[in-house]
Amino acid sequence: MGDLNVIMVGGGKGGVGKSTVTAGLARALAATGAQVGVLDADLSGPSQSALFACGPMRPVDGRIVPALSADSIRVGSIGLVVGQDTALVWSDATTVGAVRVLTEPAAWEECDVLVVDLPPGQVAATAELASRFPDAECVLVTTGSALALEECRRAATFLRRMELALVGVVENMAFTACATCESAQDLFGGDGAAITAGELGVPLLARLPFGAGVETGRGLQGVVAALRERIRR
Amino acid sequence: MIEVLRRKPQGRTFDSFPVEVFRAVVARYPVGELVAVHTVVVEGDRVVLLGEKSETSRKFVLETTTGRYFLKEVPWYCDDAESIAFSAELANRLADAGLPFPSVLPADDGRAWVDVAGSSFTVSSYRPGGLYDGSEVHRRAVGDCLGRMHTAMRDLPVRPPRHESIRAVVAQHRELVAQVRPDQAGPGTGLAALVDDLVAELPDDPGAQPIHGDFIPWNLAHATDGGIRAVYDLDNACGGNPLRDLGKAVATYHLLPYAGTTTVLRRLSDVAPPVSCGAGPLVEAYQRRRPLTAAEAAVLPAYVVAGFAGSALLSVVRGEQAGVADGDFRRWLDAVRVVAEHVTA
Repeated sequence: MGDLNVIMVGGGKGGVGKSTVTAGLARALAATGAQVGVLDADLSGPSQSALFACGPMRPVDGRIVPALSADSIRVGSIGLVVGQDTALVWSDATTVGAVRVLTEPAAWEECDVLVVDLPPGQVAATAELASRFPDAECVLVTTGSALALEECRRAATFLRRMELALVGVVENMAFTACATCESAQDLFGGDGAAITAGELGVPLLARLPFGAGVETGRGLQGVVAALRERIRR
Repeated sequence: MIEVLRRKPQGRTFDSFPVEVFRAVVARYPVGELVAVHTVVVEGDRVVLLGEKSETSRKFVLETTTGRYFLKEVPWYCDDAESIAFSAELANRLADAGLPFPSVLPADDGRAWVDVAGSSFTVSSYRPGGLYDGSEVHRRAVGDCLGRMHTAMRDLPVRPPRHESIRAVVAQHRELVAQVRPDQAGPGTGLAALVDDLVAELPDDPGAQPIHGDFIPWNLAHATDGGIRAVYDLDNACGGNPLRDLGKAVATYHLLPYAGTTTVLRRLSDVAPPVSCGAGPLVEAYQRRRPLTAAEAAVLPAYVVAGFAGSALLSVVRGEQAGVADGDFRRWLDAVRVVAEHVTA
């Protein structure tokens, strides 16, 4: 996919907020004027359908195209195909099939940037996406918990093994911010995420507060700035 | 004689298969190398997840180096060799006769299926299409296709493994629902009595030709011009009276209250029964291909009622009719009996 800039948002551990950061990053990038798409590659736990207000994906000329959200972001998600309560079981074989369908070039030809919400763990979907987008830039999301940081390091190893570029780390749910006095309370204490980022040789791009509208793009300007240096147009 | 009900195998899960299973199946057919296995596909104007809610067979689209093919796991209730062979031969002969049936590919041993990892699979040509949209164009296409199919089936040199009368079929459903939902439909319940009365009034004609057995909206795909692009699922094909297919088509296309485009039936207590049939275009199109005799026209309403009752009972089995009172079933049955009398109007 020639000029499409692909940003993969991973993190290893489930529940660290990859999906929320993905949605926020997409909106923050769109605010700079880019035509942005979001690919929900978490096939078993698709969340982007809930984070963007859009209708179902519809085929055009027999090809599946992403849905257009109310804020003009194109969204491709299995969550836009199945019902909310549907439990999805994917084998490696069907995962590859679904990823191929969702990454058809025609689906994203109107986008400058595609932000990919990776599934947790080291799974077939990520490997398939790496082969489809070998020039992708990756951002890892973590919290300050020891378990999440360990998975973050593991995810970095996995992405680098697939020869994908790692841009930086985002620490989500790093602190709570008091609404009245603006004081902050670290949730996990310490600077584990910063240390981990340093060990990985990448910057800590952002420390995001807990529950403060990350999905709207708030707090992600630093991430956008780091990415825009690497985006082709 | 009522056929002994087969019991669903225990321990059968409905996860997807590992890739080795797909490769093993593909290796048995002249379709090249496996490239991908698709469950997310386009059907007309919708994007769907194949077999998402299936409780009987898993379905996939195989992408190989030679094209796309439809892989289907044969349902447990018809996976005996005779049934599979019959269904496949029927599909292929109908395809040869110009009807829109995907052809079933022969495996390397010449059989119409392969057995891999404890399941039986068929591979057929892939013919996707759109779902029924309720338009008159679609209704006529359905009736036309059904009429053509019955006319062609009458003369085919195939031998169904079994013949079933509509009375036997509804009686089987009665047995099944009594086993699965004894509180609601077991012996002594009002619903059981209702169905007993219905069974007694149904024709007991085992029929003389092959029939589809499950001619419902979800087993047909429409082309963009409304015509029928494909007819699927001959798993229930058998010998019978063609009115059984026509009655079921009328019931499923016009009378049963499905929830949107799903196969889930809305609770009969929540929906008012029909006051008219509306199957005129479908039946008229059918009769242009296969005119009904006076005797058939006279007994067709009973087949429509049976088509309704069979699907309603299966809905009870699936637990979709929890809490629905006997009176609601009776109300619906009575209403369907009345509107069915005008099915050819």
